[in-house]
Parts: sequence; structure tokens; C-alpha cells
Amino acid sequence: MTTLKTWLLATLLCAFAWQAGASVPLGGNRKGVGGAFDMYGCMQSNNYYVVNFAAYQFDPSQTKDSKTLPTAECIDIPSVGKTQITLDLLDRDVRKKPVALKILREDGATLAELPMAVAKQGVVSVGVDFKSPGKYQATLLVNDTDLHTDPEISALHIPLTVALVVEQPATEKPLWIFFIVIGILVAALAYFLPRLLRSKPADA
Amino acid sequence: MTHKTAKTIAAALVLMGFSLACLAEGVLLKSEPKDNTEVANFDGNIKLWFSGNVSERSPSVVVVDGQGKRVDNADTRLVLGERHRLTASTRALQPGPHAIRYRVVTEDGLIVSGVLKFTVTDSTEVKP
Repeated sequence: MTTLKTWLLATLLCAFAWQAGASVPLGGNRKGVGGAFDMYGCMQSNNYYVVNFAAYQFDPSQTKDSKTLPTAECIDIPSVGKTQITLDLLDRDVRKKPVALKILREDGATLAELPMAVAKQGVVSVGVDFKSPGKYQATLLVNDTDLHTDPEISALHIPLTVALVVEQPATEKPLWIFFIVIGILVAALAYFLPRLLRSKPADA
Repeated sequence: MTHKTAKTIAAALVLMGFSLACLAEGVLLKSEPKDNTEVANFDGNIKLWFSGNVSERSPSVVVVDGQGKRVDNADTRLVLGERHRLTASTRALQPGPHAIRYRVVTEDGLIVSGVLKFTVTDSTEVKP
């Protein structure tokens, strides 16, 4: 019986180990692009690498409470000020390779930089103070010892906006506008159609 | 080996098989070319097969030569089916080491990515 128990335990451990090695989970239910909560979180990728982006802003007027965690914002950062930019490295092999992170202004000036180093726990994080609204960029560079590709070529560039009103694409405009138009049409038909039908015999 | 031990081992093997079959999440099942192999007469086609509920979100294949120069045609294609297949083609490859970086994302939000290496032993001719 003890042998069976040992085998069962070993089997379960093997299965879990294989599963853990197979894939890396995304960030869970976090804000995605456009501000809506998304199971995929704020996934950002190029042909080479994939990360989960998060920007944390701390409201100085709010009292610090260890129980309330700041909201993870996606690439449209709502306001200027001190912000912690965090990238979860979702490629398992990249977690063992040196990576660097740069936060750039639109004109290319570097606002914050994390030098090339292996990211402990698979997370790279840098603090930056966004002084003015505008467009910025987060750039992840990977010293990929398997591909030997120049990090500048394989770099993952993530466009950011800070304190800018982001116009929703036409395709993402709220569905309720469509329903209101349909509702008005139906109400108009319900009002006018019986009157039109009733007036016909009188005319005859 | 006693009868009891044999039964225990058999039960464990069955359970192990069952556990692995239950791995619904994405796993790279096989690839062409295979990882860490030498390839002659390479036809310029990369194929990777995955298990699990692979989504159409952000699939990717990049092939580079020994100097890190990209040699694929940027034509990654994901074919969803019983065994999901990720394909790409390359230009004519020179002899030497090459690497494939692949990625798929599952419906459950899991990233399946990695690097495979292969060595071309002769100059390849890519069929049109």
C-alpha cells in the first residue's frame, strides 16, 4: 500500500512538473488595451517576445493602506506623476536571459532605464515620473543567447500614452447607441403603423 | 518482482498516462525540424504541432541563422484542428546552426513558447 501511495505521489508530481513547464499564465483579469478588464490582461508582443504590461500609479491624496492594491493600468496611463512600470516576462526562456528596460519620451530621450540583467522572478520593474501628458514608449531589450539577434532588432517596443484622452476606434463604439436607434425605430413604427392602417378604411 | 509490485507499477503507469492525457493546456507535441538535430535537404518548411485549446491570438514563428539574422519569410500560419499546427517557411538556408523561436497562446491565457535549434548540413533549395 505504501508503494502504491509513493507511486501515486510521484505520478502527480510528474504531471504537475510537466504542466508547470509547459506554459506560463498571463496576468489574469487585468485591464487590457482600451481600459476594459481582459482575461489576457495587458498582453504586449512582437514576433520575438511577449510580456504582460502594468503601470501602477499612486494617488498622493489617498491614505496608504496595505490592504488596497493600486490598479494595474494598461498602456493608456490615466495621469501624470510617479508611475511604476512593470513587465511580466511570459516567455519562460527569457526569464533566464539578461533583459533591459527603457522608458523613452516621444523625442527619444530616456526617462528611466534598467540595465541589462537577469530578471529575478521573471519581472522587470522601473519607476518613472511622467511630468507632462503625451506619448511615451517602453522598450524591452533581450540579450537572447539562443538567437544571437541584436537586441535592438528584436526589441519589444510598447507605445504608451500618459494623461491623454484616447479616442475609441469606430468599431469599439458602445453597442447601446445601435440599440437606442433600433428602439426609436420600433417605437415609431408601433405608434404610426396602427394609425396608418386605421386611417385607410376611413379614406375608402 | 512479486505479483503485488507488478500490479502497483502497472497501476502507476496507467495513472501516469491518464494524468498526461488530462493535460488540456498547450504543449508542443512535435516539430519539423526536430530540436537539436542535423538536417539535410531541408525543404524550407517549419511545422510545429501543439496540444490543448490554442487560440488565434498572437501566434509567432521566427527563424534565425547562426548570426541572429532572420531567415524566415514572416508568413506564420496557425491551423487549428485536432492537433493545432503552426507553420512558417524560410528562405534558402546556408549550412550551419539555426534557431526557431515559436509562440502560441491558449484560450485559457497560457503562453506556450520556446526555442528549438537545428543545424543545416547542406545548402537548401526552397521549392516555390
